[in-house]
Amino acid sequence: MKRNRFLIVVVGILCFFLGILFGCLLPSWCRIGPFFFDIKLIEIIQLCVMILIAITVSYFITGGIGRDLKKRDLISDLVSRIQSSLSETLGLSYEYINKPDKEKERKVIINFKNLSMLLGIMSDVRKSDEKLLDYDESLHGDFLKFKEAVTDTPFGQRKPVYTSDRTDKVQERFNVMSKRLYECKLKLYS
Amino acid sequence: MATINIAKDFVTTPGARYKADGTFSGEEFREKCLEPYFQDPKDDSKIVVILDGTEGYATSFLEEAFGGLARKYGKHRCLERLDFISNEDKLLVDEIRMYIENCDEKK
Repeated sequence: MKRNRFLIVVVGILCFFLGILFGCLLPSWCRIGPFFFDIKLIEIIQLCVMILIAITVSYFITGGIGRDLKKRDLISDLVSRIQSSLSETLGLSYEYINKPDKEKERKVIINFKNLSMLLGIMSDVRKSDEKLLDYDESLHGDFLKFKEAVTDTPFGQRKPVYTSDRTDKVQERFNVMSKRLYECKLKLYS
Repeated sequence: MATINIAKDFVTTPGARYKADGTFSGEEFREKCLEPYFQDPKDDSKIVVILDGTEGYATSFLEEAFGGLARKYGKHRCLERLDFISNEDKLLVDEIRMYIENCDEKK
């Protein structure tokens, strides 16, 4: 965030000086007649025009950059929420696998629904701005594989027994999805 | 056209895969709510399944209910007849369609 603000300030200053340069070059481009500058007030007007151009140019450019960065920050927050929801779901899944009961089973299901809803929002954001949120569609596939590893049979059985292969699969699929989410976040600012 | 609202017509807390696993399983849902509409082989009317209003679905429930239905009555017939509404969880519809399409992969 601090780096983003620094970037906005630097670009703003650059645009301000570009505006002054542009204003100074106006007379030499003969856009304004030479007699215009014979009047003594003209230096003030020229200065005002220069400042106005500088402000206008810097306002539009920094505004555009600021909006874009804000959008990226919002999406980054969404990805962070998905990451924390994913970690929470993994924690609850392990709690259930180690000591299954109906309450934990419900919590796991509710968490998977929340996670899926967040991924749905992410998918909507991607549809609205594909350039900004460029991620592989397989993220949803990875989610389904992770969900399957936890909530497919023996999940919900009276005495579910998860084999070590199955728990390895849970961890492996969590890792794959987690990695893909980090990639998404990195792509946002690359 | 028939409408099945899972939260209203079945339960808000769907269970696991088989009836032996406990109440409100995918198998029970398939037998009670879905299969009656598939008894007549000539019937090709639409069935709308409303998925909203529940706490969520385990993979085992969805696979047994919809994948199991596709194994019994054919995936093309299921895909043609079933329409899904899921406003809360938009990825759920794709998930169910995937289980129907890949129904042969499971037992």
